Order: sequence, then C-alpha cells, then structure tokens
Amino acid sequence: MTKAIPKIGSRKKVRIGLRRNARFSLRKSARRITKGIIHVQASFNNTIITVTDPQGRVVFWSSAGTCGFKSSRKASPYAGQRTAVDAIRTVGLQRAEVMVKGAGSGRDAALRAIAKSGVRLSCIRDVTPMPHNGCRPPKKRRL
Amino acid sequence: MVRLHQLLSRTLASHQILASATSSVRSTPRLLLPLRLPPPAPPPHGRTLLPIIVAASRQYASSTFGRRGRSTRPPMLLRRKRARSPTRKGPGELRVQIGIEEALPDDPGILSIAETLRTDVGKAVKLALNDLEGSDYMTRDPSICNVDKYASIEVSVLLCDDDFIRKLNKEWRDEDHATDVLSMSQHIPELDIPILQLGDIVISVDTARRQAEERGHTLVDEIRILMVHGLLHLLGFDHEVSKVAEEEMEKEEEHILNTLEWRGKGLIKSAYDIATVMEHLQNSVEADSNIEKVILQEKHQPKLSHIICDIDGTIMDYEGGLHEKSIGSLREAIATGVNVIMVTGKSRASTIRTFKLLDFREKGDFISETSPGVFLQGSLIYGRDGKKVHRAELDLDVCKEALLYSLKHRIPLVAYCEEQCLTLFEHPFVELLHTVHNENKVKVMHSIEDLLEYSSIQKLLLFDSTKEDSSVLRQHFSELSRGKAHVIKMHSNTIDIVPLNTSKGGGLRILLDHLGITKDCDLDSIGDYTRWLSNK
Repeated sequence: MTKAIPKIGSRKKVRIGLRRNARFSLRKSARRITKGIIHVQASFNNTIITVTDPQGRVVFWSSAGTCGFKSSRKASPYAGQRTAVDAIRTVGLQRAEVMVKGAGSGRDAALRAIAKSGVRLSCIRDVTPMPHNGCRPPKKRRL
Repeated sequence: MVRLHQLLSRTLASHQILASATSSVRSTPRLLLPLRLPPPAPPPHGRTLLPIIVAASRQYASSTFGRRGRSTRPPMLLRRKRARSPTRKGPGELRVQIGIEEALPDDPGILSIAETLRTDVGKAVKLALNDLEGSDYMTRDPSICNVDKYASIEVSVLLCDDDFIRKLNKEWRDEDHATDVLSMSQHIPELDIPILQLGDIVISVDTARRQAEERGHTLVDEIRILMVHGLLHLLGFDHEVSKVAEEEMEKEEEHILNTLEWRGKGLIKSAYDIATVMEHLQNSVEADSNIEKVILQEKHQPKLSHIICDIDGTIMDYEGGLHEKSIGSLREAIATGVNVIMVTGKSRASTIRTFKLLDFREKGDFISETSPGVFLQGSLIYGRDGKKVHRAELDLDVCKEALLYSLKHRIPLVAYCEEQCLTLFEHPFVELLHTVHNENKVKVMHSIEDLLEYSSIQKLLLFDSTKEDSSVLRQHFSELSRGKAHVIKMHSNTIDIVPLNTSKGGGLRILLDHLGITKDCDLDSIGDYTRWLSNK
C-alpha cells in the first residue's frame, strides 16, 4: 500500500528542474566495507540513510534534503530511493542489516531500493517508536 | 674607654653597612669582613643582613610573578574569547520542513499557514532547545543534548486531513480514529552524523479547525499549540508516564507559548479544564451514537451526545426524594443539548411522571415516551424514538408460586406488566407505589388466573410487611426461582424478581447495541458502569 505523498510548502529559493539537478550531500571520505548496518530515518519531508560498520561507527551518510515545492511532490519517494542507492554504491556493501525509523514517504522507496541493490540483507528491523498523541482528559474513578 | 669602644663599634657598623651594600657587586670586601668583626658584633649584624636579603629575594620573586602574570593574562583572554566565539554562533543550521499532504485542497489559507509555520516552528525549536540547557527536567530524552555538535537540526511538520491522520493512528497506534497531532520520533542517538533529525509532527488541519472553533481562537493559534505539544514529545517529554512528567511538560508548554506570545493555553492545561467540566457529569456514561461522528471524535475533548444515568439511589433516593446535586448536573447536561438515557428498576410511566414534577420540560425533552431507556431492571428496553427493543418475561411457574405464596402469607405482591402494575389485594405498601413512587394506579385482580392472563410479567415486587429484614423472604424465593429467575434485593424490606439473565448492565448493553454504539467507540464509563460494561 503506497502512502500518501506530502506536498511541500513553497520556499524562498525556488529551484528549477529539481529532478534533474537534484544533488545529495555526500561525504567524500567514505570507507569501503563489505558488511555493515544501514539506518533509514524516514520523515515525511526528508530521508536520511546512514551506513555504519558492525561496531556502529559511521562510514557514510546521505540525506535527500528538502524535495522542493508542490509540483515536485513525487520526488520524495524518488529521493529516498536515490539516497539509498548512493549510499550502497559508495560504500560497496555486500551484506547488511537494515534498521528503519519513521513512517515517511521515502521509507518504502528506500527499502525497495536496498532490497533490489543486490546487497544480502540478514534482517530488516523496524525500530520506529510508538507515536505520541495529544492530551486526553484524565478520568475520574469512583471507588 | 667606653666612648672609644662605642666609637669603634659605630665605625665598624658603618663600614659593615657599606660592605654589605657593595658585597653584591664585589667579592673582595667580603674577605675583609670576618677579620674586622668583633665578637659581640656578629649577632645584630647578621640579623640586619637577613631581612635585606629576604626583602631582595621577595622583590625579585614578586617582580617575576608579576611579569609572568601579566605575560600570561593576554593569552588567557584570547583563549577565552576564542573559546566563546564558537558557542555564540549557537547550534548549526535549523531546517524546518513543512509538508502539505496531497489530499488537502490547495487552499490559500493553508498555504499561508504553512508559510507562517516555517518561522514559528523555528522560533519554538530554538526556544525549546535553549530551555533544555541548564534545565533539570527529569523526563526528557537525555540523548538530545549538546546540540552544538550538529551541523544542522531537522524538524519535519506535515499538515494533513483527518483521513490521513486516522490511517497513521490506526497503523502505528492501533486506534482507529482521527486525532489532532501525532509525534513520530526519528532520532537515533548512537549515530554520529552531523544531522540531528528530531522527527515528524503530523497535524490534522480538520481537527485543528474544529478545536479552534470550540476554544474561540484562530486556526493558526490552534496549530501553534499542537505544534508545541508535538515538539516537546520529540524532545522526550511525555505527559502520560507520571504526574511529575505531566507537570514538567505542561510547564514547558506554557513557557514556550507565553514567551513567544502565542494565544491559547497548552494542550495539557486545556485537557484539565475539560476534565473539570466533566466532573459535573457524575454517574454518567458518555457515548456517540453516530458511527460517522465516532471517526471524527476528538479524543482529548469528548463531545457528549448521550448520558446514561442510573436513577435508583443516584438521582432518586428510595423514599422518592431527589438529590439536588445530581439534578443540577442533569440540568447542566441537558442545557448543552445532551440526550439523557435513564436506567432504573421502575417503569417508564413512573419515571416520566417523576421528572415532570420537576418541571424539566422547559429545559429540554430528556425523558418522555420517545426517549430511549432501560426500565424494570433491564426487563424492558426502549430504543430510538421510544420504540420497544427488548422485553423479557418471567417464568410462569415462578409467577404462580409467588402469587400463591403472597395469598397464603398475606404478603403484598405487585406484578409489573410493562406500564401496568397488578396485585391480588389492597395493601398500604401497594398504595405507596402510586402515591410516592408515581407508578400507575395498581390494579387489583380477582384471582391468580386473571392476573396471569392479563399480560406477560416483567418483574415481581414483594413487600415484607413485618419489621424484620427480608432475608427469609429472599432465601425462599431464591430457592424457588433457582435456574428460572433472578432475585434482587433493593430495599431492606422488598425484593425484586426479574427474568433470568436480566440486569441493568445487560439491558444497557442491549440498548447500546441498538443505538449502534460499540466498545470500539469513544465510550467512557464512570463508577458502576465500568463494572457493568466490562461484564460479558
């Protein structure tokens, strides 16, 4: 089931042709490892992919950043997918665990991209915590 | 001689001083000193030398320290200044991302709110993070600290409609209804990356609009309140874990809203005010009979559509008197348009006549021939528009046995056939049903057969005319009706016999089913109703 795609509010700096010119912030000094953990932080407006070695040290991270204005709403899942692909290619992973946190729009796309990338996944773990709600008036109990 | 000696000592002393003055420059005069020194002279001269040397050494030492201090202070100041400059820059770039869900209409009002929210969220985040430093809050996420080490801090706000937030609520919290705000944290403390991703704050514009109308402020004000509440959740505050945690979160909510001069009070405080209002509605069950409304029900501010109210011993004491406080509560409820459902062991005619005496008609139509209610201990239930939805019947054998017992021992017995009361002989207790408890006039039947043929019986009421308690009577009829009926002790000198599996709680469940109210609805119960509704 595809989740709803969020529209993005207008920004002061309007980018033209965002899809083609989209650039994702990449760290240049990325170590190459064969086994690691992929962390996916998926909010409704951004997707952050972080690759760590099995001991937890960060090897590489990538962020889709802001996707743009309303007409680029479809870019969000694409941004998640692109971010994931970049992370895997840069590090050269062969085997990985996946930890997902968040319910955002790029979540499913990122997971699909990771699954199709050829990396052998030992497990996919959803560590999204229970969301918090507004406040409910306390009940009066009569004993 | 003495004079010569003194003169010599003086001369030697002066020479000594001169020698000591120059001794630091030349080493030759030092060789002369011991030769010329007389025996009594060494002690005072030695003492004189020591202070001078000590003073000199002190001067050198102090001058050295002074110079060192002066020379080191500038570097220290520079270091401090340099050290301070990074902190003055404050945390890294703060990215506030506002998303508008696709299903929301392209409303210029919503776009305007989204634009306003960009700066508002930024202010709130900065203030909240600033409050975290140096605060001693017990219940917050300790991993979100020292935010200076992050190059950027991200908060994601999504404005959506009720359908979207209901899906989220159902998928992630297993509650199938729309709500006002959801906070979804995405912070991973063990990751060492330069982005601090706090998480999502999802706000339903539909719910916010309704709440804004109810609270008398604008939609922007309401969304700000919800945003602050959600933001504090992302920082680890939680008003549901303990009393202390609730107070801390409420305090922080008020602080942020007041500092930024935003209208309205925090969400937790609003809830308390609602709870205060609810305290007036005692002994009530609140429910929403409209299934569509249930989907849109605001959880934090329940909108009462029905109150189910027990009468016996609650609104009315057992001598027919009325409780003033309970009546006041009912008046307030009726004034706000709430429908009142009566639950009682009496008949509907009796209940209608009783409340007519209070002149409730002016306040609203809360009990009449067209009102739903549970009567005769659950044997008789009227649903929508006052139509009968359930009628239980007492077993004929039980009725016959009871009637025979009544005739034999001259114990007054009243049989309830829906609205009509029947008995076998006149008795003052029976007369009380009409004069005090407002039942219809009791009919006297001439024989047991005539009474049984009148109609089906829903309830039997027996009086014990003696002053003793009715334990003997109750025990007798419990044995008599075992497996066929249920005996209820209402007063010290009366017992009710009702059909098997009949009770107020059971009747209430039948009525709720008829009205379309299920357990999944927003149904709150207070007092006895908690026990009743949980019995299954």
